[in-house]
Amino acid sequence: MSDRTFLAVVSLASGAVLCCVGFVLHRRFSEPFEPGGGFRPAGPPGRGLAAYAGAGLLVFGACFLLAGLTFLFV
Amino acid sequence: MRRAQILLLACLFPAVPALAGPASPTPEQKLDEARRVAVTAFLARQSVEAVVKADELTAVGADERAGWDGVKHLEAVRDFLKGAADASEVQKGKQDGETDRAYERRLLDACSGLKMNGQQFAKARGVYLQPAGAPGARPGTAPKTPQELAAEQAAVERMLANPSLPAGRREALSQRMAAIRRQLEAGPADGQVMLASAGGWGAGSGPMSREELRRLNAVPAASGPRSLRTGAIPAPAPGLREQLRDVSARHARLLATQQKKEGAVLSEFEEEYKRDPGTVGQAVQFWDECAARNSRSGSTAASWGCGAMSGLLRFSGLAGVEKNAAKLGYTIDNRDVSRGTKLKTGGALALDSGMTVLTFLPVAGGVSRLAQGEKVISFGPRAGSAIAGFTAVSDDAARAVSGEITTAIRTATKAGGTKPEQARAVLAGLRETGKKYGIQVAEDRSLLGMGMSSGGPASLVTNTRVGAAHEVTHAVQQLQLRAGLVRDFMARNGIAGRALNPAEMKEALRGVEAFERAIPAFEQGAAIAARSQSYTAGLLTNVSAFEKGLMTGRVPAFAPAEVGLMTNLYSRANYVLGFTQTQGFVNTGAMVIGVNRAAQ
Repeated sequence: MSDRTFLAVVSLASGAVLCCVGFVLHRRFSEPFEPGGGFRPAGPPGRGLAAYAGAGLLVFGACFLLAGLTFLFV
Repeated sequence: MRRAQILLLACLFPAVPALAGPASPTPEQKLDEARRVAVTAFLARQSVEAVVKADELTAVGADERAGWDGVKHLEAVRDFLKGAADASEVQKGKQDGETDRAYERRLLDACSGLKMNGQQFAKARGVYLQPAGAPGARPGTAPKTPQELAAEQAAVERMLANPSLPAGRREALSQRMAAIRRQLEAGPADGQVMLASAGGWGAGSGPMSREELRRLNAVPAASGPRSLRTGAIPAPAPGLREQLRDVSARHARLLATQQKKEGAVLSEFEEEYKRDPGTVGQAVQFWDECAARNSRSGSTAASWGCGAMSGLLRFSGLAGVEKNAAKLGYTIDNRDVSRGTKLKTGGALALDSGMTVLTFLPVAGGVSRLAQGEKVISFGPRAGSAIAGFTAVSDDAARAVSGEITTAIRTATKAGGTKPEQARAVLAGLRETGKKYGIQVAEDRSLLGMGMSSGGPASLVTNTRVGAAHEVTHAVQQLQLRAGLVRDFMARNGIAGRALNPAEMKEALRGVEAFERAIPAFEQGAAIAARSQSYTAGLLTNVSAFEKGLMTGRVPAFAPAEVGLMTNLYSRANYVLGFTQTQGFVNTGAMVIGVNRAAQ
């Protein structure tokens, strides 16, 4: 396996894992408004941080995926 | 060319590789084969040392021409030799004073060094971990005399007769049985070279050393008895430990060479990058120079401004994206650069891209709000501005509800105590008020719910584990809003003496979402209550402001003196960035400050 392919495979795999974890975290912990109203004010730690971390992981995972595709095809 | 010739060529074409003979095995295949042979020998109690030849394994693919692949191969050979050397030492039996546990640990190390699977490991345990004197006991402690061998043979026979013997153990015992039989039947063969230990025959302290064998070869043949068949004993091949030392040294040399080559390529890139740093790199350089120039001329403000611009560009990850992309392009097809370095550069490129996206995400959010119809990027509704989609409740309803909540707060905080204690007492008091209007108020103490006062249409769940004073203030605000709406609905529709049915509740609470969009008011109120000296007074300030808000349908207002700059910033950030991002930033900042303090 060439270095280019190896890099692409590792990036795609880690991107996929990060995206999945990020998506699950974000979906599970961030829903500021429930249907029909409902306020979830911010406070110190807790769910918001988990949701924020999830969003971050999702973004980083997507970047890894794109980088992997770039290594593979460019 | 005739058709027949073309057909013949077409038939021969696939056979050409076959005619070229079998492909020579790759260094990895050779190593795998050597490992298989060593494991087989180890499990069959044959000498591992005799079957492992490092020279054969490092003859190809382990020099400078192979580059980093060579380093990797030598590393693999080194690890294999270490496992083989461990295995060979295990075969020599327990050392003086060594405990069973230590011996077993050495066996485990040897097995993992030879990359044995679970089944092979179980078999090795069966072969090498027998109680002393029992059939199949480890070498060095095994019985030597024919009588002892016969006794062992009988014991092995008895054990083999056991039908519930595990398969691996049975195989090991069968092998041992065959070995005993051979030994008993054959005895020492004529002309067989018997290995003597340095301490004499059967002393069990290992084979003779090279030096001892050299001295032995120097003894003239005529000096021995005539009947003794003598001959020069070839000097033994280097032992496994010696081979291991040799390969380790080769590995270290090759690694140093490759690192030097890689360093040269990377510094070549740095030079190249310095000459042409790209668009963002040039911008960073410009702001850095600007900051330095202004600093020299004494313009501190301008210097800080330029420094901030440079810092923003670096923090955004843009400069990193540009540099790492250039670095990866420069090194990706260069064999002198290791795969690890390429992987690190690729990872840094992806991480910097992520940082860039995150930095510009708020901009995307603002653009999306503009696209949804907002004329300017909004920082949240101002105090006193009308709440779109919310119909004000009657003065009577608003007053009656705030009166009930005020009573509940005063009763609960009468006993005093710390703020969190008072907050929990208030929440308990609100339960009764909520029940009256069909709204459930619950306390949550879970870890995951920390920092939340979650409001459904007719239920409130408030976590009091952390920041209870802040979160319970939200519960007060949330209940006041819902109770006011329900009371107003009942008054308008002449409902009394019964609870609302679900459809009516839904209709009554229609304005909740619109009102709760007035986020700055909620956050400002909670901050005031949590910060004020008297928790009761802080809560009542909220109740009063929200009462007016409900009556007028406008965003509840607090006195400017009560709302500090940081509270205002926090409240607005909640609106602009959303709860999630604000909490993320605040908590990340708090963690950084906490870590810094701990480090000091």
